[in-house]
Amino acid sequence: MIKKIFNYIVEAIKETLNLSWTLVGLIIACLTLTGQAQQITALATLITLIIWLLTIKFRS
Amino acid sequence: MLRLCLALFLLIPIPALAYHVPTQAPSNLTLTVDYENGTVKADWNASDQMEDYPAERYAIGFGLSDEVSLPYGIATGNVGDSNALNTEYTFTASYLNAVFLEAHGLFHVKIRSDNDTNASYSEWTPTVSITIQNKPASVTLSSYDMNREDGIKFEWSASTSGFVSASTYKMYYKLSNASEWTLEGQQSNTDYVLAWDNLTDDTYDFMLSACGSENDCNDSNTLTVDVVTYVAPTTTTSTTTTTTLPPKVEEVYVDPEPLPPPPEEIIVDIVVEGVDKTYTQADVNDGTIERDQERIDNEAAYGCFMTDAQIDRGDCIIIKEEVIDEEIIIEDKENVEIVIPEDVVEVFDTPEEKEVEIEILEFEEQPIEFEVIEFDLENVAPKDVVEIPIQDEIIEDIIQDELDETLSIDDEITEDEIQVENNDDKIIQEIVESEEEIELIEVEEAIKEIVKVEEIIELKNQEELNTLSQEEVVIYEEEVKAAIVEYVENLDQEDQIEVIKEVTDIGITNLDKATKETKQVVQAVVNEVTKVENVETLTEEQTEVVADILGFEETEDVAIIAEAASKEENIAQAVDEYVERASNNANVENYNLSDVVVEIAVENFIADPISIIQIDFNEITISNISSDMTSSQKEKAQEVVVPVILARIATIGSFIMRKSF
Repeated sequence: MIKKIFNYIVEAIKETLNLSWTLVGLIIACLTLTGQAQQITALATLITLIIWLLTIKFRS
Repeated sequence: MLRLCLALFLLIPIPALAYHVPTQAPSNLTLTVDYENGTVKADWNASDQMEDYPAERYAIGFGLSDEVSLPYGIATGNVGDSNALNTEYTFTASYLNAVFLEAHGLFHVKIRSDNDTNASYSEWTPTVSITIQNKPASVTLSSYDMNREDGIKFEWSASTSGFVSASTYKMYYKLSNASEWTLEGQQSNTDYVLAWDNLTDDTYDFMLSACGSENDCNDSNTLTVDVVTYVAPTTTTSTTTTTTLPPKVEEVYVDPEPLPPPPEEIIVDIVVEGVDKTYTQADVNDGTIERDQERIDNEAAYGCFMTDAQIDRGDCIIIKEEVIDEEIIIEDKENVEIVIPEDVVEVFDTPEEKEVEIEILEFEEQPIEFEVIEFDLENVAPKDVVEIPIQDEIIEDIIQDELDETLSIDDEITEDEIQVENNDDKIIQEIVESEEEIELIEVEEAIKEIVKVEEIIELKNQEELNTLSQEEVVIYEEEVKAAIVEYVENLDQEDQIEVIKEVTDIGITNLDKATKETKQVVQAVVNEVTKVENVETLTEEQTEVVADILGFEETEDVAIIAEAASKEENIAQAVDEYVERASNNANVENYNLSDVVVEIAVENFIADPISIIQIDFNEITISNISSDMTSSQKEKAQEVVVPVILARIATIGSFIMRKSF
């Protein structure tokens, strides 16, 4: 069980690193936006990242 | 290996999952009033310094009012100063008087830890209040004189070292073995004679209360005296002889030595602007006469009724005056040649005339420099370039274009010609810079006419500031800022807009060489006109002016930014720092408020990354998702987001292409 979790964490880090440039772009977008647009962009980025990481197995 | 990784994972603190306070607030704030020295000491405890960004200095908010209000702020020092991390601060009576025009009432204080390096600031501590009574410092009772016919005389030094000076003194006395005090005298003098009728030969205690105007009193020490009542000298007469008994030495009444006559008042009469002015010794001592004389001289020389210090500081525009002086004098001379006979020509030999002539010579040097430029340009440029009225209207681009055109005519450009071009560039640059400086001086003068800073607070020049300690400089700057903000708040909206118009004429980024006070005035005006309630009252034309200074193309953006500033901390901070940042970015093209918003957002994100996902779902309305963004901000976001998305698509595309092959 622990091994599975460990493997998943490694996989998640790998996937996140693959998304580095996209995440940088989205963070910059958040910083250049203001008001509701900023909040929604930040929220959407976070939710999408979580979904992306949770569906690693499914997508592969 | 797995266990090791798990242990490391658990050991390493993850800030995102923990209660995250980058900078902790101080604690245990206490206030102590010292009536003897007229001070209030604020004392607090520092944090444990274990946070991410520990305090580098402390900000102190304070106020003096019946309601809890803390409109003023001060710091323990600048970052790195020896006293920046002091955990106590002493407010003096003179400082409170300077800020509040009084030094008694309900005094409020709160403290905040500041880490300026990372722009991280703690919460404020709860406000602590203490009452400063209208009570003077106590006096010391030690001197008395019993060798008097009328009673025992006490003398003391006036009470002036406290928050207020004593307005009355009350004399109390009692037998040493008694418990009740008897009030006898109540007056404002610093001496009192207690009549012998009140006393007998016994041991008495005496005490003096120094009282303020609201009858808050501070008691002196108790002075114990073995009173021996005064006995008048006695005379015995007989029929045969007359013997006069020698009086006891201690009972002889001796008239006090007459006080020395007051120093003779020196009166000086001087004629100023045709008016006979009288000066006293005090005026002589404090240099009033010298300053008045400087004003007279400077008015004659430059047309400015100012002291030398004001002239040195640049309060008087001498350059403009010089040009006008030249024209006037030429006309005068022409008239004089015709009207005044030769025998009164000595009139021209007054010192003022000589001084003006010197100025004319200085002025005449400038056209000589221009002649040299014309000569140099003849090699490369046609005459029509030379005839551009450089001194009246200098447009760098036009001149540059002309030079580029003419230079391109020549097929072979020699090194000398390149040198000439470089020199021309330098000269043009210098001319443009001097023109900008003159414009800036004019704008500053115009702003001074509207916001008369010198009338509300005494400004110190650089030499005076050099004599102050760092702490005093911080106090002085805070005072100036507070005074300016208060003045601008009470200014008519039309005057506020007038200040902005003056600045937009030269561009806000050109304020980089303006004085600190000018920048503070402009910032205070920007803050005022971008308040929601004030934006509503602006006319269309005034809104355009405000939009112009903020760098917006759409006038609707002014109302949007005002609304956003009232809701979002980043934008409020951006508005608050706009003038300073814009003037620091003079070299950046089209720098506007949106740039400042992005700068602040980045700084705050670096200081606290979690803050970006603090989302208030109640504020979100999907239907008008970008309605609270200014057009300028949308444009800025487009400039950044679109290229990033395109770059990402291109990356994915190339990856797919590579896989398919």
